Amino acid sequence: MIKVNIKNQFNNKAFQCSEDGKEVTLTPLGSGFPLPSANTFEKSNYDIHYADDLDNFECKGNIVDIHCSDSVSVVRLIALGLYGDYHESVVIGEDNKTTEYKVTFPFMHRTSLSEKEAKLFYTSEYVVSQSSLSGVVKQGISLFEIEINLYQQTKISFIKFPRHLGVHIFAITLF
Amino acid sequence: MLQEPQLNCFEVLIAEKLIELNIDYKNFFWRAGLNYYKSQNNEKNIVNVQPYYYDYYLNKYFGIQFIETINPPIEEIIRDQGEYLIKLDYFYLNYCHMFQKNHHVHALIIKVKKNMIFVQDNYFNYQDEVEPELLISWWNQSQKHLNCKLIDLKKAKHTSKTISTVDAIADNLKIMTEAAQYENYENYLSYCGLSGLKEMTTDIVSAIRERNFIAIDFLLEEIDKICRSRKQAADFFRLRKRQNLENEYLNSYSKWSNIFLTLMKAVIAEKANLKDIEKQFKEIVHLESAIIDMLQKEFDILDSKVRD
Repeated sequence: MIKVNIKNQFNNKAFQCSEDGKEVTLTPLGSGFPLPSANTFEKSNYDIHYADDLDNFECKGNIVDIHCSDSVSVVRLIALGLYGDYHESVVIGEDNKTTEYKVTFPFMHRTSLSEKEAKLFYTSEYVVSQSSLSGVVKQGISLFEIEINLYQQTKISFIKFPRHLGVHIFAITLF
Repeated sequence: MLQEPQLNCFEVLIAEKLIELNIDYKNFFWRAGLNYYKSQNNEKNIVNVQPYYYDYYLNKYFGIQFIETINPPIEEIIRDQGEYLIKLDYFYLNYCHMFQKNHHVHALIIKVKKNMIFVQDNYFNYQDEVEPELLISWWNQSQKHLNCKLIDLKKAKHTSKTISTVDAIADNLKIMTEAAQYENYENYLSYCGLSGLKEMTTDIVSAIRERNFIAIDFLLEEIDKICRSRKQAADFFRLRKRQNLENEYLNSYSKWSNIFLTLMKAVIAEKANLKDIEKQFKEIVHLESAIIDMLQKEFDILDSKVRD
């Protein structure tokens, strides 16, 4: 298992950092996840940087370089779709070829999933919102674990994400 | 409670009603047209993605009567048991986050039973019993800003619950290519399909140049309408196993989603990257044109098979 460091890609803040923090910019109108309880993600297979100044990236065609000498068979992403279920291409690059995989990024307000394209990773029962009078909205908001099964064992040199401003990536782990 | 981002607050309630009648709602939402209505007296420009309102299609395909009354006295309606779709102003709905923020029409279901009102609001993910007095207050206050509507959906007669794929393809082709499909509105110029798209692009580019972000904000809701309709069409053609059309509509949905988000950010920041926006619209014109070609090709093949 290789946790990919993607901090240099981060351009967005989805998790509130304190109880009354107004730093969240997951949606353009300033909504996102409340501060999670301590250790929420500690035992997971992913680095979720919820306490940092930035904790995810909005996809603008980002290329994430992978520095790893091992071959892997699965790429797992922690991600979400902002205003809908988005069906986009993710390109896995090797030294001499690229392969495109179709990936579904589920709508962030889903709190259950019927299809096997992704799993719920984390759900908050409410949203923090700068546009709401009370500062919170009683609506579930989730992060999803999305699995890309590679066609074969692959020594990945980069992962290219789509240009879709509604797709947000929080963590990448290779298996 | 059904929650689907490709359905707006009213469409999701129609979908609930169709599910209740054992009809797959994806067979109902598949019209991905475009007609741009440009106001001649500084009113909001409008986009329609289908020529008629839902009442026409519900009756045509499923024999469901859509009985709508405007501003009826709600206190009289709720004296008897019944279930209705209602439209009011979400400014007064104390359970939702738009409470006392903006005035906008919003739809929900009310079920009247034994002097209690059960409210179901799929869009804001709320369901609860409310006192009749609270509903009456929402209703009466909303009328200060808009016309409240009470809609009774009744299954009137048996009709086919499915539409043929060839008809859906033909209709989607017509509503992108035939201006006569759409009604004309007084004081509005009407542009259908690709010419509507090009006209809308010109208006958005001009608005950005003039830094008229209010005009773009007005159009965001219309762009969202186009965007959702492309996802609805993709879901329909997925159901019908027409993968090439599904993929094309998904591509279109993806591009429209990006345009929506780009413009939304521009409105909030009051600045925009004009070149990027022009590029995105150029791509969408190209893609919508490719969908029209594909619909024509698919229609020709299916139509010749039907005639054989």
